[in-house]
Amino acid sequence: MSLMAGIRADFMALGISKVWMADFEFRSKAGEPPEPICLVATEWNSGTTIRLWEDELWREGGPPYDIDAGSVMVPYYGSAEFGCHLALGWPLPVNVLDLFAEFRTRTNGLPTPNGASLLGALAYFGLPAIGSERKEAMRALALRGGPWTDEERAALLAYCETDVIALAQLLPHMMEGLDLPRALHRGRYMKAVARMERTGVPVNMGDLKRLRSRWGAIGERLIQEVDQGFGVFEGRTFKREHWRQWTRVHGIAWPELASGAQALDADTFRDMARIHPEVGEMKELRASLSQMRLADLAVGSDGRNRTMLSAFRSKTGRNQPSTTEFIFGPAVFLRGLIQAPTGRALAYVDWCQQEFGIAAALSGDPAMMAAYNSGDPYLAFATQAGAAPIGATKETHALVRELFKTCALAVQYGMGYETLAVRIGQSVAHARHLLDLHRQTYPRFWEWSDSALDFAMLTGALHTVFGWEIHVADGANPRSLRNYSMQANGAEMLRLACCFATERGITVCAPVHDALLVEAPIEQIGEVVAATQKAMADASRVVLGGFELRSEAKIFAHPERFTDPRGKGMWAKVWQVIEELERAEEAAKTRVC
Amino acid sequence: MKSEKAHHANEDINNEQETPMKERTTATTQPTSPTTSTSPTPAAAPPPPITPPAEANLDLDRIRLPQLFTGQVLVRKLITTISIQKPKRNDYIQVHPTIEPMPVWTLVDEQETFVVTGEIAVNFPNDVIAKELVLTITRLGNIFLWPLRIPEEDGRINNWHASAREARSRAKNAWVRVVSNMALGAYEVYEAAGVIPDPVWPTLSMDEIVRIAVKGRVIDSLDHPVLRKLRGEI
Repeated sequence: MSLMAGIRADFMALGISKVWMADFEFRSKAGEPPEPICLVATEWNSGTTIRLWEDELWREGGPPYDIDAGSVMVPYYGSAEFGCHLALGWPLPVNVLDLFAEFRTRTNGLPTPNGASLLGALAYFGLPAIGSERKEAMRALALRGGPWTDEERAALLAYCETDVIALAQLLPHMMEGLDLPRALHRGRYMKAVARMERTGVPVNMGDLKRLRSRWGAIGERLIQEVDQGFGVFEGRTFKREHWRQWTRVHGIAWPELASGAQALDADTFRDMARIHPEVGEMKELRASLSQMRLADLAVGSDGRNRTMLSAFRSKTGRNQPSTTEFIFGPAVFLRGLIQAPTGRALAYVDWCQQEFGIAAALSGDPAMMAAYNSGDPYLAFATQAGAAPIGATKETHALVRELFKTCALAVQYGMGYETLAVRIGQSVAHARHLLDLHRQTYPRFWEWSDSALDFAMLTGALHTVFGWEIHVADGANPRSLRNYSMQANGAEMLRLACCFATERGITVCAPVHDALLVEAPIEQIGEVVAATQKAMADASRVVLGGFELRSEAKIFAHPERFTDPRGKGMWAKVWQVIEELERAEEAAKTRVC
Repeated sequence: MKSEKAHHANEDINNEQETPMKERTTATTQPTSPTTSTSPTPAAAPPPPITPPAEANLDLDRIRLPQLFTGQVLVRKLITTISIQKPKRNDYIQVHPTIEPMPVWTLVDEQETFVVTGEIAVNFPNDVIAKELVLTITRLGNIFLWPLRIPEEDGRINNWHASAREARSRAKNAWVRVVSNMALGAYEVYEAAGVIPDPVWPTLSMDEIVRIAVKGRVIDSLDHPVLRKLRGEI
């Protein structure tokens, strides 16, 4: 059988007879939905090609190609194409084979010298491609916006067609060894991504404007405010030696690097802030100063934060949106800008102890599943290990619960004795004892974890329930591999929940790690939360072979703001500074008058 | 070529065709929330309307891959080291309920237990002690041989040995911790409360276990360095 015939047979086995490769050119201003400019689509079997310019697209009233169950659309990172469908009011295709998602899973964990863009994928297979300079020039031309001359139109259409030709070249290479049913499952998620990217997260534009216009001054004032209790800044510079001195004076054993210098990365600050809450403000200040470039926060003219969710970008298959463009980036206090539009409400719905539940279900450890089903797995763990009596509660055994919670999380992240000791602020012997208790209490989980690691090291790969694969390169980190099944299957679960929720008509603003932010009119939010929780429960049952994970929801009805306790202190400080600055500006104006 | 969604409703949630939720357009009432906007400026606009799409006709249960990696690659743990030691004071242990202990002549040198042949034992009656090696396992699944002194022919036994034998007896069907109490002059036994899973014993025979445990620790010649040291030759 020839390659072409083989590919046809693969599709036909799933009842698919038409294979459409499609690419849109579109304008995409920061925070705004895409505005389609032109489309080129080619049917792979017949060679039929369609070329449509902007005005023709609008006149079409629907896709000019098949989108039913007997056809498949083949894009490269299809949320862009589907974003154009949604902008035009077109329905989305039933079947999607997204070659970006497939290239990512094929090369996940392996070096891809030219990246994972379409050009990178072509280069990976040694296929010809247009030069990146021409690509950039064409992108700039599209972004510039109309009106375009006839030559420019022709050039843009021709450029659009080169991407379709590239897809046609790439498809046979990608089909080799492709796991088609699971690939279509991944393609399904790209439709959900397009819908979420179009919806976006509502923010209060007025407050954003006030923040943006004074951010430079705010940064300086924040340093002054926060640094009063630390004395570690000189101007805008964080001085390492001052920090060493501050930690010494306060009796904090700060982790050090092999060089002897203190570890000052964000993770270390986060860990240490958990043990020593007095470090929390400095942690948030550093995050705000280093990671928050307010100008980059992508907010459209309708006050909605929209950015590419970058699906399948991380090794575990999770989304990896830009930390500066996405409102759920690392500067947690910024989330205070999130506010439902008038008459509407937001709900943040997240799975309870998702990774613990995944570990319990996939390993089949009966004690661990019982702990999850108890409703408080960490306290159940303490009870099962004999550290808390039967009948203990969160209130009566808060400290023991916290200790066993930290231990359970440490296991999920493959933490060693030493790191756990730092995390719990106790001796290494104590940490070792805790981890031993975990091994003793959940032996089946450990057997499963060991076998997953063996499987990865012996076969060179590890996969999720729907075939998202990580390839194991030399020097692979065994702790990451042990954690992979929890993280990557958690990503599968989130993707499926996004599909279920958006397909059932729920307005999903964004996925956030193990949570969904949904929106509805205030009087419908209860109903929408219930439907979202059902979608998430359904997704957990599918991924975990029948085991259901619980979820919880927090509702923020307009004018209430989205709040995250971790950023509350900094949020209050920032607004105190803004109000002081504004009062000073007013006073200055009055004096001039 | 324009096609509307065309696939089959299915009872399976994978292809669930629920009636998509639609936002009702009835008037809304303003909430009375304790946390309010910092500025009176307008909030964002409602999201653009999006029509829910058709779902792919995939049976997710059918395409779900197993995650039990046990048995997918053949890996078995090889036991290459087994120690001869007393239980550690913090370890909960069990002894094998049916495998009989192995009686041996032992000689201890610098806290290391050696097994000696009968011929050697006759030549060193003051240094060699008759013990039995009891197959023991910790909660973490590590096995070791617990050397327990065999009572003298006249039946005399001190409190240490008697309490150790009592601990061994309890450890046949319970998880116990064996802790020396110097003031008491005997071992104390702590039995774990609650339901704790039974140990998973290795499939090795006692002969194989002993062979692994005594590897490099058998004294079968009078020229053995430990004996020469005892005789003051080195």
